Amino acid sequence: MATATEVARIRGRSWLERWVRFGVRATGIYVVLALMGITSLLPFFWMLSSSLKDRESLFEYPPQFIPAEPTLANYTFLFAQTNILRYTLNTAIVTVGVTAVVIILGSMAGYSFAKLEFPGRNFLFFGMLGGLMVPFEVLMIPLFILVVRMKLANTFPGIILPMAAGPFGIFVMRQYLLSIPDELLDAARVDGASEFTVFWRIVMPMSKPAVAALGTLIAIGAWNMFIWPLIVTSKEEMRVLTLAISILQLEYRGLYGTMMAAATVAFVPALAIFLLFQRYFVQGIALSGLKG
Amino acid sequence: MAVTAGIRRPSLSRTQRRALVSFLFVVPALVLFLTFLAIPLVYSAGISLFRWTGMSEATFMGLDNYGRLLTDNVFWLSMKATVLYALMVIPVTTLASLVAAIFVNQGLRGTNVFKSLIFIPVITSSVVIAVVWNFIYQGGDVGLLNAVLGLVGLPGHVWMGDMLTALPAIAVIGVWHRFGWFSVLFLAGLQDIPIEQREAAEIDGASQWQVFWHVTLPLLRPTIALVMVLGAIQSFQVFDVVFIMTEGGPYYSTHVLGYYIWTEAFRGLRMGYASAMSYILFGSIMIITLIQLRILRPAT
Repeated sequence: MATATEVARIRGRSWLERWVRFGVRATGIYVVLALMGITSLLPFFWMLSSSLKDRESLFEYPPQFIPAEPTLANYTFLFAQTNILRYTLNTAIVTVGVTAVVIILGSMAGYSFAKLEFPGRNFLFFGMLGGLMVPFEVLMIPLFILVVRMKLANTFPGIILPMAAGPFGIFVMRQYLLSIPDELLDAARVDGASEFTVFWRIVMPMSKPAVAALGTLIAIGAWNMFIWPLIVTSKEEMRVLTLAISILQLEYRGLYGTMMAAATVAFVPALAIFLLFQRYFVQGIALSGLKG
Repeated sequence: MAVTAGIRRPSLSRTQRRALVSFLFVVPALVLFLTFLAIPLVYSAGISLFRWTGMSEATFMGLDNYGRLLTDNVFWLSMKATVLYALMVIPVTTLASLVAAIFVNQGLRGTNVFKSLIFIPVITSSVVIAVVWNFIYQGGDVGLLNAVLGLVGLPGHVWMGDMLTALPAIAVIGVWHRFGWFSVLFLAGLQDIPIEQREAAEIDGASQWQVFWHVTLPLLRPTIALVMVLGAIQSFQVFDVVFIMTEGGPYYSTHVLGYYIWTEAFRGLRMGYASAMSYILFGSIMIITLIQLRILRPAT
């Protein structure tokens, strides 16, 4: 607890002292934040810079942070020698597929769990929510056997469906839809709208912020996923970018320029999604923290 | 459509029909959940009781797979690497993300830009991250880290080739990859704290540090618990970076549990043994989560 002298001490500071104190504090904060920002960016800067260097300047000492003679040779080599365009297309298909399935099925189930009634509804919801706790390591072996038996190995459905089966989308959509007033839905029902019309014409248009947050989060996750494509893909033409890079790494051991070019190709679209939907992404992260 | 079918059948009352329609909205998600999550979960428990390559006849082993784990040296080395990794990553990530969040939350001009910058690693694939850091950590003058150390007169090191530095080097990547994510969670937590509480303490003459220690930190307890639980879950499942950078070496120093499960299952084709191990991993995560929640539960 404050004594009277302490209060007097704080109140009694001159404006100059307060101003200097503020300046020192602000500088300190900026320095720490700048260090964190630079640390976060430096590896990406190095990746891009190295991807634009020829073999000699790549290993020059001291290192060149900005290539003196930038060259696209690594990219030309990458696009000529590998199927990187095909891998990029595969990754895009998987990303769109996973995102679409999660959003559509998640909204439907989330709507029912939030706004409709059926016996066992809450039991089913919390049962499915429990699925969030299961680590993928427990599922990957039976999933592999199951997908092979269903003749879905090396197919897009085989890559997409297991990645879209988790309850996260349902949870996010339900949390959001709980906040929609019932009166709005009831008004439409009184007018004779079917449950499906209510869902499609009223609930979905109102859910745009939640769909955007969920979609951004899921799309980035799908673009970046590695272990499941690694397990379920054996055909070269079905590889996604992450898998392709992990294999190129072994084939092109030591070709750092080419590897940095490949990493850049995989990185830029994820960065673009993030920059375009940044606002929603941060909302989605807050939701993933199981916050209201 | 099921709706019209319901109307034709007079045996179904109006409430039953509504319940049926309501349930139909859940069916597609439920089918996917059962096929690719619930059934595999049970199937995996079953597999863990057999010796099985995934193709040939399976031999029933009872709990032998679990018993064998106890005497498997590689399993214990994997457990050790995983726990050490988690012990390095969780505290440092929590602290770094808390500091970042508090500093961003001071409301100084332009700090939102830093929020975006520290978020860029979060949205990047761990494969990309592993490939880039692998290059940074290269021995000799090839790697950026050694080159920078050389410029300030410090000796270089073969970071990934030394069993003392390989795991810490991977832990650094883990912290770097995730702390931006957790600082968003901390920021949300900080913004939930009513400003009156801090102002009241300040009027009472508390210093900034006292306000943080006695007001802000206790109110952040739920967020700290959440961040540490998420950190533990992620740390125990680390795989991609190890797969790309070290393949568990040198001398099993980075041979984490997730990597051992993968190699046993898909290189060794010991599906039963790998499944048993995956259940041990599952159990470990659950136990650690419960312990963390118990320690960090809000004081009542």
